[in-house]
Amino acid sequence: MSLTVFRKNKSKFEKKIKKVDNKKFLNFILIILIFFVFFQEFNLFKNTYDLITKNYYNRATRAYEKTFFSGFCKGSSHGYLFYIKNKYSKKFGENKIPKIINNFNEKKEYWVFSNVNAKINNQQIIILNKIDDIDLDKYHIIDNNDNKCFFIEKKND
Amino acid sequence: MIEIFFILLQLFIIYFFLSFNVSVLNYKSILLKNSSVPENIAFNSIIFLNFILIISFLNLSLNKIIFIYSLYLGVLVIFYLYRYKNLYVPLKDDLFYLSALLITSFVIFLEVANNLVIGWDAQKFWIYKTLNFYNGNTISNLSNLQNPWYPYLGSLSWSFFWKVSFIENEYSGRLFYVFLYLTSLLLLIRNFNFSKFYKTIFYIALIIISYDYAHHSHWSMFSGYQEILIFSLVAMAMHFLYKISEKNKKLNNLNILKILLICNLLIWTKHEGFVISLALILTLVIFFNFSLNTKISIFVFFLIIVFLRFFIFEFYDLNPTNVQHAGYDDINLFTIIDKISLERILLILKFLLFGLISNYFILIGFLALTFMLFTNRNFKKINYVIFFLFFNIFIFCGIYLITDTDLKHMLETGIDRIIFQFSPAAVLIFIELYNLKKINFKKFNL
Repeated sequence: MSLTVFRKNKSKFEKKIKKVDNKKFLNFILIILIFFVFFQEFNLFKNTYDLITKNYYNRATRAYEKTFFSGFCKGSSHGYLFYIKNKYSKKFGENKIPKIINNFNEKKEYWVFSNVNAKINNQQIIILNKIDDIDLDKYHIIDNNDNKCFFIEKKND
Repeated sequence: MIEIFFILLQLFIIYFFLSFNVSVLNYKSILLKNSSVPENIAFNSIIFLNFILIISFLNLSLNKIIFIYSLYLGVLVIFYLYRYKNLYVPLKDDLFYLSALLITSFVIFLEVANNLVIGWDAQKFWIYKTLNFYNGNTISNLSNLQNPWYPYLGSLSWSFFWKVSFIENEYSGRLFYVFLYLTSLLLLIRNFNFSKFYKTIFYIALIIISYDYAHHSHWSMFSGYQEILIFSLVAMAMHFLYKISEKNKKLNNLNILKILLICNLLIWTKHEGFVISLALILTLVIFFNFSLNTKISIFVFFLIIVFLRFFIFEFYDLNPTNVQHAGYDDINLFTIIDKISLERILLILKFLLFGLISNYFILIGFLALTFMLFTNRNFKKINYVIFFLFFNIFIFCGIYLITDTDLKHMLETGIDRIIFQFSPAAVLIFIELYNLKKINFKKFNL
């Protein structure tokens, strides 16, 4: 009984399939293809993979490495700022952010800390692209990246 | 995985905030019955942006602005629930537009979430304004930030959708720009008289050719730059201009009002908005057959918009140094004449030409125009688009000519973005060409 019903349905389905003419099928394939081009153009699968495997800070750090004006510890050094924010934000103190000294282009990207109301704390300093004129003996070094970028805190006298 | 879920949720949040039409309050309104999905979202976006802008003039914090807008939305939802069946007639293509919008939005949302660079100018001008609102400050505090003389509407909308998001990071606010941009493209596509199949192909193609990285940059147009907002608003304005040009007088006044509201948004988004909105107003007044009263009303409305912009900036002291734009410090008749030279004009023309031919929308418009020229088509129907484009090109070249800073550097880093902002107008030439009844495109099997 069930086999006859199955065969009946199958032949109905086959008839329906035949009705779909070649042009419609071609259009359908073209639409699928154009969407694949779109997915490829916008890196859908890579983006999905990155969003699953990397957190916001890792993605932001990596994104700035592709720009001409920044990198992890280069130029405006957004990567290092994101890294410090992610790792040491509890050390900053209530409504305070560290002072930034950027010896490369003097750009100070305080926006990375997402708080325009915060006071700049001169006791904590993020040094980007260090040059020799800073005496680090007066500071605790909290973080050191390649002797180029530092997160330091003034020692209590 | 949870972030992807929140991004999807953000898509529905943005869609929810922009899907209730104020015309539901009017019992006699025919707008809901005649609006497709992109038209509805575009209209609601214009209302939304004007709404939060005007509320912000009252020096309210972002939380209060969100609260007031939510109240307004709540009222609309109640009206929708009561009157939905009487008002809403689903259009045949609604599902197509909605699914195209949601799928493409989600894909580009993922791209924005992974490509997190904030562009150079965005770091300098726009992100601090966004943080100002996000951190609970009002417009009066903008004078304490760098470059206070720049308008703030884009930053306000950025912070708005950042605040209502489940994603803690700033990019969630920028997703609104993507949504607005795709809506505006769908709106343009909607004007083509061809099948859904070709609309899909054109829609994807327009996204790909307009989502171009500026040739001097390494970040996308959703990196916090405001050009994308201007682009989207101009695309919407072009759609409404096209509707008016169809001589369907039924909704003419409403379309004029939408264009005027867009002018207001343009002025509050970027300085270039002044020029583009003036171009829109002049196009409306010169090329459309309105009564004298209507033309006077359009001008008066525009003057009020401009006055309000300067009044609010004065009132909150957002321009303490009286600088209108960086690079234009010394502007008087004698210095302007001194700056004009053949060498500078040729330099501008060189970069202008390069900018025009590297913009695909302009190229499409140019090809359509050439086609019309060779087939002896009547240009009368597209005069208004040509005027709009030439007015913008002419005025922006003039503005470049009188700059005080390094002209070459300004042209290198800016002219492509300027052209990008008014480029949606060029697509309208193509739409007008295709929709001309005299052209028999059937032989091309479209």
